[in-house]
Amino acid sequence: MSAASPAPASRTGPGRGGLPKGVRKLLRSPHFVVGAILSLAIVGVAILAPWLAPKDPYFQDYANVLKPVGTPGFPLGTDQFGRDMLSRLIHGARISVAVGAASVGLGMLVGVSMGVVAGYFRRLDRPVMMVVDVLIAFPGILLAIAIVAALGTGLVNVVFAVALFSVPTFARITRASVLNARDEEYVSAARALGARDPRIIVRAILPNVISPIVIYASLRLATSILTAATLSFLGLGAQPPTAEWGAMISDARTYLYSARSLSIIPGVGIFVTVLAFNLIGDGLRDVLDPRSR
Amino acid sequence: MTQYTLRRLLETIPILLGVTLLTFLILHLSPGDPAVLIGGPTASSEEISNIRRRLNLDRPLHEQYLTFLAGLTRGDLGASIQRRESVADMLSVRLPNTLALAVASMIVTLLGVVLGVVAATKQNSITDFALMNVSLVGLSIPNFWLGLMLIIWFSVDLRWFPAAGLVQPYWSLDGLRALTLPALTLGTAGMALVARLTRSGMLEVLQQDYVRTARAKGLPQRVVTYRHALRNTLIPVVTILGLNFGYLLGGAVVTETVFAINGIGRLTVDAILARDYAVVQGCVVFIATMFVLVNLLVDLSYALLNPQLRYG
Repeated sequence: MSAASPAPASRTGPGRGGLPKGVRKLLRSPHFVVGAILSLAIVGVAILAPWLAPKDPYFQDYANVLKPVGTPGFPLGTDQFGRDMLSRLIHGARISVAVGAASVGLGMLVGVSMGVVAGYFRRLDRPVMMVVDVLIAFPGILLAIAIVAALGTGLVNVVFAVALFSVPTFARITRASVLNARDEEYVSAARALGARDPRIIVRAILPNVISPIVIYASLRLATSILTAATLSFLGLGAQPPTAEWGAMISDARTYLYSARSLSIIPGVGIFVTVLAFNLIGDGLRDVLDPRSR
Repeated sequence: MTQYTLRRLLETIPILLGVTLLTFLILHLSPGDPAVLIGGPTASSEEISNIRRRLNLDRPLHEQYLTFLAGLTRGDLGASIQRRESVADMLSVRLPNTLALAVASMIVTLLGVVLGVVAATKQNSITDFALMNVSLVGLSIPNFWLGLMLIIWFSVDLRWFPAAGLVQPYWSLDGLRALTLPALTLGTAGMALVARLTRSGMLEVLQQDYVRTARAKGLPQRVVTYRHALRNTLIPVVTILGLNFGYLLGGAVVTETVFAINGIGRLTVDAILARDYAVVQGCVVFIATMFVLVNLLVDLSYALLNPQLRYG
């Protein structure tokens, strides 16, 4: 994907059915359609959480502690403080999607900037890519953990940590695309017309390299949601009583033997959300790389 | 090959320096004074300045970094602020557990090669469809949650495997039983990824001319698949497996926490929660260095297998 150069508009232009050819291909991919429907539903639940949740997710009802799934008034039961699990699950979607989107957005902003600088300005290529290589040298979520260790626990710091985790790949993808685009005729033409570097980057290069970046951003959303939930599970992200899925699973470990639904329900939330975005990614890959079909 | 090895070794040095510098800066430029943290809320300003002097925190940042770097070259990763114990000793005690977990998870990951081959040879069949969807599920399950679910089913309900800790020797029956659930937890995502990569690599190779020639010669499908196609598919897969080993070390942070395994990953999390920065710094540098060195070994072995890379 890193070498993918943006297709000229004519190749993705509207086909006979009115929709662009790429979109029609996507709509024929069952993975993409299922993923898109699930993702839209999850984002819808996240946006409408305050209206959809039947109860206040933080209200502690000590008369109804650890109620099982299916209890009248509490369809998904209650936790050790009598809080409604359905309401906490719904509000958890809001937090997970918000943290995932914010960290991907921030990671994209920083990574794309680094990639553009490295790809466009030859002299800065080596130093910038050196930083990227160092960031990649931290395996898995280790760098995110180090950042949280330094900044302290909490959701805002998790966004920074997860964003930094995404930066190297955004930088690499952008650099590869900018390197391809830099020597294109339209860039030379813009230069010949006297355009300055910032203008060339913003007006000529970025619009032509943005599609692989946006596709990667959609794929990255799943990883970011998973990473943020993992940090919260480790006690480094959202703190109690926040209705965050990873933190809810962490809290529920004490009740693994007596009330297992407390661990299962938020886990299903994370799993379905990550699966939905992965299905979209799978659909995109099917269309972009037909060999793997 | 010697020239290539030397070049790769030289390229690794600045990366390792960058890793130590970044880790050092992240932890030293963070808000809050470690001396105040160690001294506690009741410490007098004199006590705090004593702590600062003892830990060299009163010296300029670049001097502190150089001292840290000089210590690293002697294998000295500093001392735990909380336990007053050498970080290197703390790591060496826990390293066998982390390595055992990583190796066992690697074996689980390797099953992905088999699944990928089966899916590719039965392309577009129900088996292929099922395997690829199961692998998508494997990639989407949070591993900490998978670990808890495995504990619920196999430890609590069926009582087949223990829910916590590792047993030495690891290759004894009890040792293997204790390793099974953590290895499945840590290795599932890698297995799913390797299955998908093997499948797509195999499908690509199966379309090559030499495979068509092998078929045209009348060789049985089994020979074409395993002797001609699989061998060529495996080169990039081996690279991914090597890289995955480093990710297993990073992923051990989560798995060791879920299964209460006394390894380096759990030590890292405990140190963060206890704000023992010296231990966090030592753990992060140690894991990242191992990752960089494993990558280097993978690169060198890949070059050995693929001459195009050495001379390219």
